[in-house]
Amino acid sequence: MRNIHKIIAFGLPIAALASYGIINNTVSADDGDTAQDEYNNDLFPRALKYLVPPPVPVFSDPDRDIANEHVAYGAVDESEVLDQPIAYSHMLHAGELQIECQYCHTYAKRSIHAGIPSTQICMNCHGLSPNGQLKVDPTGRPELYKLLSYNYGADEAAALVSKAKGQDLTEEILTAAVDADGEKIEQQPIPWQKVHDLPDFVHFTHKRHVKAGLECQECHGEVQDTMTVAYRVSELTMGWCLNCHESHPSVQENHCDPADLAGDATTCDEAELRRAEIKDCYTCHK
Amino acid sequence: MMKINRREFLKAIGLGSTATAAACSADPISWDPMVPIEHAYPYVAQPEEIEPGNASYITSVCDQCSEGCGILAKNREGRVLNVEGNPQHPLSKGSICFRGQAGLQETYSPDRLSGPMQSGASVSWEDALKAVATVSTGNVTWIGRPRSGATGALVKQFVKEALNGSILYWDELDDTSLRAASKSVFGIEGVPTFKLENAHTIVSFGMDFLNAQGSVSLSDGWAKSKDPTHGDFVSKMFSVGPRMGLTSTNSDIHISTKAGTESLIAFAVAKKLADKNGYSGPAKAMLSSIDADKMISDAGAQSALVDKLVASLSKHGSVALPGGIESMNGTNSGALAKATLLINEVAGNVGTSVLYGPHNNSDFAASSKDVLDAVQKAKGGTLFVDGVDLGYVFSNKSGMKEALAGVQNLVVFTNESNDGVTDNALVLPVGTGLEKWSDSEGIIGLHSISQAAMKPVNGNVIMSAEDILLSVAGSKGLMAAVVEPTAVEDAVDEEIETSVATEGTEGTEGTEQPVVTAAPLPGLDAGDFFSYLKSWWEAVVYPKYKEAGEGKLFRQFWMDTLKSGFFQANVAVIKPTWIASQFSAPAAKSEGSGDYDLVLFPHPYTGMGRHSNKPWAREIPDPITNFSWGTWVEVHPTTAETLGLKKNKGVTLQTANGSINIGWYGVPGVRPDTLALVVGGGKSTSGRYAELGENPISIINHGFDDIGNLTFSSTKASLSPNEERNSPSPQNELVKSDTLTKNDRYVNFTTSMVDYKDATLVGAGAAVPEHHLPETSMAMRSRKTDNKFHTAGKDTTAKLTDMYPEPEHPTYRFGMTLDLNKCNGCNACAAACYAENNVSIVGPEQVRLGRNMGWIRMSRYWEGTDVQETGEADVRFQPVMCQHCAHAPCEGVCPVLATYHNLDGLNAMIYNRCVGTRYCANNCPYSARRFNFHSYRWPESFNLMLNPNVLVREMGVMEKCTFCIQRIREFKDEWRDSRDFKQGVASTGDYSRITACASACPSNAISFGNLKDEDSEVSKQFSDRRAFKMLNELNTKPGVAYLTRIVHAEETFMHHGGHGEHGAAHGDGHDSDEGHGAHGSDAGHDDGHDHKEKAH
Repeated sequence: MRNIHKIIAFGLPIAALASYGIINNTVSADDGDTAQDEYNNDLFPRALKYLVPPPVPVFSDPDRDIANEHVAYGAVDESEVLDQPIAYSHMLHAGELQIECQYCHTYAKRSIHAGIPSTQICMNCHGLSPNGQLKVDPTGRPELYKLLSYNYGADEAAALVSKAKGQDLTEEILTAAVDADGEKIEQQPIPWQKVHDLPDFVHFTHKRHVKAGLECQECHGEVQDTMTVAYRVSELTMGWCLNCHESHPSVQENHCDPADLAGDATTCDEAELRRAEIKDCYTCHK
Repeated sequence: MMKINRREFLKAIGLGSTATAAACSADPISWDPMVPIEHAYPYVAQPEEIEPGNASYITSVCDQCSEGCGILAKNREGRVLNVEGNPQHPLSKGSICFRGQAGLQETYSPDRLSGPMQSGASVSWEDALKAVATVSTGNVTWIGRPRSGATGALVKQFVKEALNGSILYWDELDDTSLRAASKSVFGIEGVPTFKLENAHTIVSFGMDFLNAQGSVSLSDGWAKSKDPTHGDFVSKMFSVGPRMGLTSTNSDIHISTKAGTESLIAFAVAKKLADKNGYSGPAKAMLSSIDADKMISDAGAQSALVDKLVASLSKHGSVALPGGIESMNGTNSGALAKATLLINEVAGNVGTSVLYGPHNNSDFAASSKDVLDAVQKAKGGTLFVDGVDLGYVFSNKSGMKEALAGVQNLVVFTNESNDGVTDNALVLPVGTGLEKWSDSEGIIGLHSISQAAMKPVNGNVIMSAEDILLSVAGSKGLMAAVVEPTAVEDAVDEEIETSVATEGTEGTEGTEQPVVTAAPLPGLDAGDFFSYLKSWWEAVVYPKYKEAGEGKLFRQFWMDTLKSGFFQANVAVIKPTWIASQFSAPAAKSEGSGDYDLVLFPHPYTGMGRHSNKPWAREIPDPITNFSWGTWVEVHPTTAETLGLKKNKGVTLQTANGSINIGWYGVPGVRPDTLALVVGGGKSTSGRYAELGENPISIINHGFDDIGNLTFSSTKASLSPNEERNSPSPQNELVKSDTLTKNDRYVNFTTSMVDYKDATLVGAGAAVPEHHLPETSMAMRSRKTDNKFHTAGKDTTAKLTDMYPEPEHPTYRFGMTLDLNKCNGCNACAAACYAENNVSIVGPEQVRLGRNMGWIRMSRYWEGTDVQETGEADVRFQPVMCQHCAHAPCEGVCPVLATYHNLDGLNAMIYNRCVGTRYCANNCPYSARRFNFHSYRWPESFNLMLNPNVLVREMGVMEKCTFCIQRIREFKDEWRDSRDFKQGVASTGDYSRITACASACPSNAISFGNLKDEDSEVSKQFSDRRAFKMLNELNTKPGVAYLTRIVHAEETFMHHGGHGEHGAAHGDGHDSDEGHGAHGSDAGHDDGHDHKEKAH
């Protein structure tokens, strides 16, 4: 995959063919009856009209630097750290301050998603108290200025902080509160980049894994000790999933605990079958 | 790091013409092996009730018709992705009909208006409200869909009381005729509630109550009446009319009449029934002048069949007759409605199966003629048009469009443009039922509350009609006008006083109930409609609740109601007295020139065109003809032959008013002297999908019948073949449906009453008439396999042999049963499947190529083509989806193991593994698999409705029914939460309605569950006497079983097989509920032989 130039050499002709067919409509529709083809993209859109390979961006884009591009699953490169809108430190919060993972990732044990915390959760500590006092002093910390700006809007944040501190920090805050494109931050959701992502055909649920007793760190790494901005330490590929589904200790425990076998109620045969069940394709594929 | 925006990239390198860019923008991920980084946007302030990834269910009311069924809106991350019936609601009972399900597409329609429009240009809401505020006293007309509850009260306060205007509630497919009839014969304004579950005999005079004009409660009642375990009887159904729709095809006997003469039959039946029963009630005067035999011959019907109907009506105690709602086909719908009420009166049904008291609430109901007159009169004033299309059903000659164009101040409340929106209209998008607060009292005493379940998508800005009225009232200072009490308010006040009095007496009994002072009725100064709604409920509904002896505070009552979705007050059934003595049965008249009578009927899903901009309603095939998208005419096969109509080609239909080129279908249900034309397509400005098809109204003469309803069957027409390709497939005739008799594929069976009552037939499948087949037939051999469901008590010498061992199912073997006795072919299951599983819409061209992607196919078998002569309808519906075979023919041929049998008994299909060889589809004997010839996509905003738990399939991938694996997963997830994972083997929870189809089915014909659990409903039904597996002789061991339909006709098998011979010996006995008793099974087998010879 990294050696992309050879692929480009192969891919370009295909792309050219495809574009030719699409532009000139010369590739016959597989419908067989072109006179009757009332295909209308407004009414019945299709991603691709013809059974010709489409222009695949990876193959056909000579400028795309695949080697340096981040993807949210696949081979792990721990040096890849995403350029997040706020350089949030897991090491500080989860490590030094000992905040429980699920304090912020609230839904991990209730939903398929662990959930990226809403800005309001950050404000539980970083916001202003009812009497307008700051709980955590943001002075001189540009990342906190950004956070407050995402929550209140840059101007409002500057006014609130200045008032609480009793000194005019407006300029300092407005300088810091710009996003990656240099735009002033308004009150808006924080545009985090996904560190972990799965293909659309995969069903994954945090809930069942957390309830089965897995530690967050088993998949996400020792975020509390090693990561400032989070990065991916697991491949999230099917082989990687199956490694655990075959041999993880908690799978063994959950499905065939020798302690339970004293009576004749549950046998390991049955447990074996249920172990097979968690390797069933339909468990994860949708 | 480097950021790539792929769209920009495509533009930059010039690969893309616009075509490329469009293609790729609709398809952001596929074909790219590297998934680029996506963004995740958390909330700034997370709403408490939203859990990302978990759906919340919000009670609401379906607004697709005026029935008012309670629904649950499934909301995930702020968008309603699906709607289901509210299990607690007395009307829907957890089910939803086709139109309710497809109604979801209204919310996401790509043709929705993003804001107010004046004369075709966008205007701001401020300006729009100012324009509405020019409304002046005494010069206001409101035409709209029926409103009740608080919304009705508000419209009444605003239009009637504050502005002294007039209100006309009207609907294209409403019950005006029955309402008018109720008034003239009983003095009651309203449409009675039909309790079909109490009816031994059901007769429908042309009303398609199982589909286009139906509702969930009617389907449910019909199914219960057919279910012998419900009431110890199986109802017998008759239908009367010139054409067989879904209701007629489900009936036992169809009485064919000339177009527009149903009322003659109805009067004749009433007369004959009265004579037979010795009726001497108040309606006797009306019967005296009826000459029954002449009427029957005038109608062109067979008197023998009418006699059977009369015999059946007189025999049983309780009968219901949902006739007379023939608002469109009759030239005399008022007379027909009266006649059906007369039959009910004579048969003694009023008060038992035809109920007044809890009847349909119907203030201000108006006929089509009233509506036209009102529009014409509204010229210089303000006309509010609320959610109805005034353009389509009124023909060009009616002058409706000119009248609308001449209205000075035309305000149209609609979410997308329709044919009645003229250039002068101010169009206000008021939001769909899922986006605003509302309520309904469809049946008196049943108050349902419709919560806002989501915000409008796509940045559309809506303001509900109610809020508009309140805002206008505020700006005009109308509040003062309503302070003066009117007679109506007095009545309500009285009600409140009585309830307070009740409260007082309870207080003296020493209960600790808080003393409640009657809340005042809200006025037009309520501010916003939500507060109005709440105060109205406090003033009107809460006293009813207190009256019933309940003691909660209003706040608690309100919260409880929001949770359950409704409040039902006790309403006593009234036993009305017959007051009419006038009798009129006008003869049918046909105008124009032509060889045939032309009958128009509503499309089963789009009705009179209201739902025709919803792709689901257009793409899912009509159950009778299999047509999608187009407009078609149904002709009798002999007529088609006479006219020389060509297969695969279209026809030209000519009337005095013009001609249209459409498709045709040869079907024996239509009279040979009649053509039946479907209404619903070919609208002009109602959205991109509504335009498809031809407009049948354009060739119809404009006219009104005796009570002011539009007449659609008073036209003559002629038909000629043309060379256009207008059919959905090369088959315009009943070709496939003859399979049962012609090629030995025994896929669908019916059980006769004789067999059903035969106590000697015990064991699974014993009452399936397979046992009349020759011993050597495959179907017979299929009973002798190792299949554990069929071996009990049978000879097992001639076994089919299994080549492979039975797959292991440690915990679950998911299975499904479909009770064909209850299935009426309405296709609500198919619509639910489209909604749940992201099934693609492919469009008419692809449908014509056979690429319909529906996972459920409604097979329709039409046995015998002589229904016009014999009156015996044997039409069988059978929904077919993946049968989840244990020995699946598809699995062995997949070269990449994309499909396999899993431990839960599912035939799994792993899409990203599929390479599209299509071997599996070729090898599937049930044709249950669908191939994606394209990456079908959804127009903008339909894509927001996709279910995130189900993959959107790509080009080159095979797909099929998964038994809603995502719902099974959810169910298992909940189950694992509730118990120790190590202990549980099989859940005993209620999972009989997990799948989308089973949940939707209005007649509860579908059950789902675990066959390993012996107490589950499916397990019991698998060993039912009526259970059979489709094509069981192939030994595929399906996970789906069908229960045979129970029929009254004697010929139970292959229409003429089975008891055919000795059936004839019994003489007149089609009416075979009783008698017969013993019949030798040997004789049955012989019959089978005979039949086979005959068939070949």
